[in-house]
Amino acid sequence: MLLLQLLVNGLATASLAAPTAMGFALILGVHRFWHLAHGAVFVWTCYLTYLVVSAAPFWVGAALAPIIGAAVGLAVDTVVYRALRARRTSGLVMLVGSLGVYIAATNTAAAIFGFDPRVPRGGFLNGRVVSGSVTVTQLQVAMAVAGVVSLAAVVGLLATRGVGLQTRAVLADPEMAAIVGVRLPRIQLISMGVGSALLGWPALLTTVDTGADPTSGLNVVLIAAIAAIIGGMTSVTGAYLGALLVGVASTVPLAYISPAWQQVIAFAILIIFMLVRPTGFFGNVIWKARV
Amino acid sequence: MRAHGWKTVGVIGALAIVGPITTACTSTASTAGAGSASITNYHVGANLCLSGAAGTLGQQMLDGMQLAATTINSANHGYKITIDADDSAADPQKGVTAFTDLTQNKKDPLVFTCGTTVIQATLPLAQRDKVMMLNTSAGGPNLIGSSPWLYNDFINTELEAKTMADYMYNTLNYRRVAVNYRSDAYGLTTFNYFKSYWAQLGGTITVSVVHDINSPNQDTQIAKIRSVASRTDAIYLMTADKDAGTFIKGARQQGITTPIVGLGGVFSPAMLSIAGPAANGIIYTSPSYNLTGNSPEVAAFSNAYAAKYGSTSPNTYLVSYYDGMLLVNDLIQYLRAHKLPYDGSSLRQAASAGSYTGLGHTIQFDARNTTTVPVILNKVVNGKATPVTG
Repeated sequence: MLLLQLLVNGLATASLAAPTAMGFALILGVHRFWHLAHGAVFVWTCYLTYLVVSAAPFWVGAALAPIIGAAVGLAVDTVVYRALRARRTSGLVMLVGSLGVYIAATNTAAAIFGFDPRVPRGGFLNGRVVSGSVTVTQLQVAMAVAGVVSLAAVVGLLATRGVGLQTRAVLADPEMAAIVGVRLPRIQLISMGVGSALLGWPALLTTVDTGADPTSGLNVVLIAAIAAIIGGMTSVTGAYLGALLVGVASTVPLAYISPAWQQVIAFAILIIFMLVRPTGFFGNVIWKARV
Repeated sequence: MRAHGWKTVGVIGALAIVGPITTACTSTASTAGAGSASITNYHVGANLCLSGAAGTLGQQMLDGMQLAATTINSANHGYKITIDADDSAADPQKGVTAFTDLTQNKKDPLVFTCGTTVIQATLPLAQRDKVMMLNTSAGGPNLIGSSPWLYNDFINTELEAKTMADYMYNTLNYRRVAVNYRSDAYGLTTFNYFKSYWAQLGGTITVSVVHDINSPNQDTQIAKIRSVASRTDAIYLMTADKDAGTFIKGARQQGITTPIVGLGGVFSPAMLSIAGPAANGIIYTSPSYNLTGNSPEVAAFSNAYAAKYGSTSPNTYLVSYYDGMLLVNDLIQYLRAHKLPYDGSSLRQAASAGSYTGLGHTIQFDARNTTTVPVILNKVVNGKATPVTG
């Protein structure tokens, strides 16, 4: 039963991480740089959803969370990334810029809200759905639903003939896509918005569970990056599967070993993939670093 | 030697004589060559974790110090105490940088500190710079007697664990305990001591799990404990703050009804915020600052605290740092009465000279520069700390 409970826990945690990983992979694939500020977008989405559910019913927060995430991500893109892109800066400079945004934004959040976690009063999703030798909580069900709905939404978007087709073209090869007429800035903007919107529900569920916290962004972006690499860098569904793999594989073995090994397992999976299958689940290209 | 050369020597010689005299006469801050009675503004350093994972606790520590400074400064002693605060972020490297800034730039001869790893990293500097370090929060037993320049005025986690073990075994008749401890000195040293002492009493540990500081969730730890919950009398939390809240909330959500006990760090605004009503019934150990007595110190604290924070229960660390500032004030008065300079060596002399009155307890340092703060048990009732009786 412990094994089954750990499997349930792993799937739930992975389902919460999966949308963040998909968003990270989408932005990485279209923009071709490591968007570390994804963690800062997550943190600010947490705080803003906290403010919403503190004043309005939970369903309002659930409806607005993706919009809030998108707005925060687009703000980062508009204020910082657009200027850097206009100067045709390299991916490395964009990485450094995103790191700067992450540090500035999370410290600003800490300065405004403090380091105490902000948990909305009201006790959302505190109940149990299944209770017995294996327990499933309302929160875990919400995490699973958020993950599946996010995956369906993104797959559905990418399957469309307009934006979806163009995004897939950019994910495959941005330069070729631009040559054949895809408006790259438009797709970059859309991908940033969608990728950040995917943070909305994970941020909301994290907030109602353990509170909005300025230090939570780093862990989020780390797991998202690992999942994206395992998935194949530019594959959104691959990132989803990567998150599931990491979530389950780093949880289930703990039935037999100490939880101290959890993070070790996650990074061990990453290293194994980089050695054995560096293109990940569905990737085709190994990028070269460009300075 | 030519006249020009002698002139240069003369200027240099004059500067060598005038310089130190000028410095001594104008010193009003940290050091005074002619006794500290002439100082009107005593600077005290605070190397606290004001940001990062422990930022909340560090801010509470600083709040306690500032509250005490306000109270002391309004008492018209003829001097005031100013706090120079720096941020270690609970990181040893940053702690060293902060400590150096306080002692080299701000010339503080006494530095409040926090965080076992930061304390351990800065002890050699305290020794080198002859600076007294005052620890009023870190309870690691490895800190006791670790340096002649470190003074500990707090409970240590071994005493907490012993008190809780005795209470569980003798009063509550518990025999089987599950332990969830944090993977740092705070959790590890406490767990190792408890494991040994609990076995001596005759108890057993049904399962022990470890978690990292600031874990986003503890579902795995909860699941392991839940698998043995039916044969466990209590869950002992050796952690603090947010991690305690995450575990308590998750455990109750998962249907674990086993009583939960914990170290003093468990009770904090962050834990209450996350755990909410699930925190009710938690029993934990804390320093015995008797805040219900009638002493002038307690009265002054109660009035100042109520004026600033209202009716919420004061956090342990806010109280312990306020307590530490009372000690510092007493040490300063000792220096002034004995016409000693305001430096680390004299402060140590004052600290060893006798006993002082803290917040509801007596402070007297033993040969290991540690004062024993009694431990009491509290229970969380409607979000507030209530002493356990019986």
